[in-house]
Amino acid sequence: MLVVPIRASNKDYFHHKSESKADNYLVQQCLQGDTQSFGQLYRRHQQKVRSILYQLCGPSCLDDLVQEVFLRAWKGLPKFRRTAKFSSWLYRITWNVACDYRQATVQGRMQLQLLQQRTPTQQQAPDLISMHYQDLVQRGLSSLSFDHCTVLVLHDLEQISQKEIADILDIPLGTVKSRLFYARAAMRQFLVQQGVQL
Amino acid sequence: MTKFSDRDSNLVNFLCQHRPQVPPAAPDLEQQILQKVKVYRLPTTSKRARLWLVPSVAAAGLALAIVGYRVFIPARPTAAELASVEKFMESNWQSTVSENPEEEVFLLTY
Repeated sequence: MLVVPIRASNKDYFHHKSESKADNYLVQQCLQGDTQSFGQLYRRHQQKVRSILYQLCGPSCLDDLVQEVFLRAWKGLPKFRRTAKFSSWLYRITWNVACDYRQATVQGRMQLQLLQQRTPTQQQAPDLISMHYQDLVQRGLSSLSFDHCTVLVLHDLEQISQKEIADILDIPLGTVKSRLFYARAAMRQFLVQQGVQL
Repeated sequence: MTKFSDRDSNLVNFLCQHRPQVPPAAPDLEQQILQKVKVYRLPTTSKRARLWLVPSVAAAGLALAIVGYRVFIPARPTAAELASVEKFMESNWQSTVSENPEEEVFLLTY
């Protein structure tokens, strides 16, 4: 499974602290006006935020969307509850930004355009079969409803627990399980129709 | 994470193996974000400080009300004070109204 690293800093002051405590410490520093701490928060979480946005919105405007997420996070820091998990809170902002973006675009036609914009130059050492499968996965995700796609991406691709997803999306745990079940079924059906043997 | 069935496990493995690669960020994206962040100053503690004012103002108001009540409302008179007031009123009443009605007529005609 692909694991997205979220710690990038060599000068890591938090060897003995949990990620969550480290995040909360950085948040406190940010609230005192320390933008360097926000830079650390950015480096810790940007890859996952970027990945989620890419799966949900495609490559177009990706940098702008990432920027929007972190600016909203900065502005919303005073409202952040210390008892909450920073990453869950950040992913919720990410999901809100993705929702806003999807609403702002003409969905069906736009998604086709986004698929067409994907060029082989985005992959390093392109391999035709691999590219074909990647395209299938991307098309499969696009074929799902936004709610199903979100749960599938967060759980199966980003490996976020069902409970945390329930917190992020503010829905019951049972709804997460249900959406995941239907999303997987739809994705499996799509891939089988495309000739993939699972 | 939940335990997968074999079917789910195969699907998830396939998705993870063939997930589209995320394009790299612009090299200066972090700097752009930090520049914008520096422009926007956080309202760090002012709102929270104002929130803390609410209970203290309420407590101060309550204390003032109690002190004001004690100061401005007169204390109840004692039994001795009441008795002296009553005596005073009786003596004044007797001097203003006479028991002899003729005296009153005399006073009125002159």
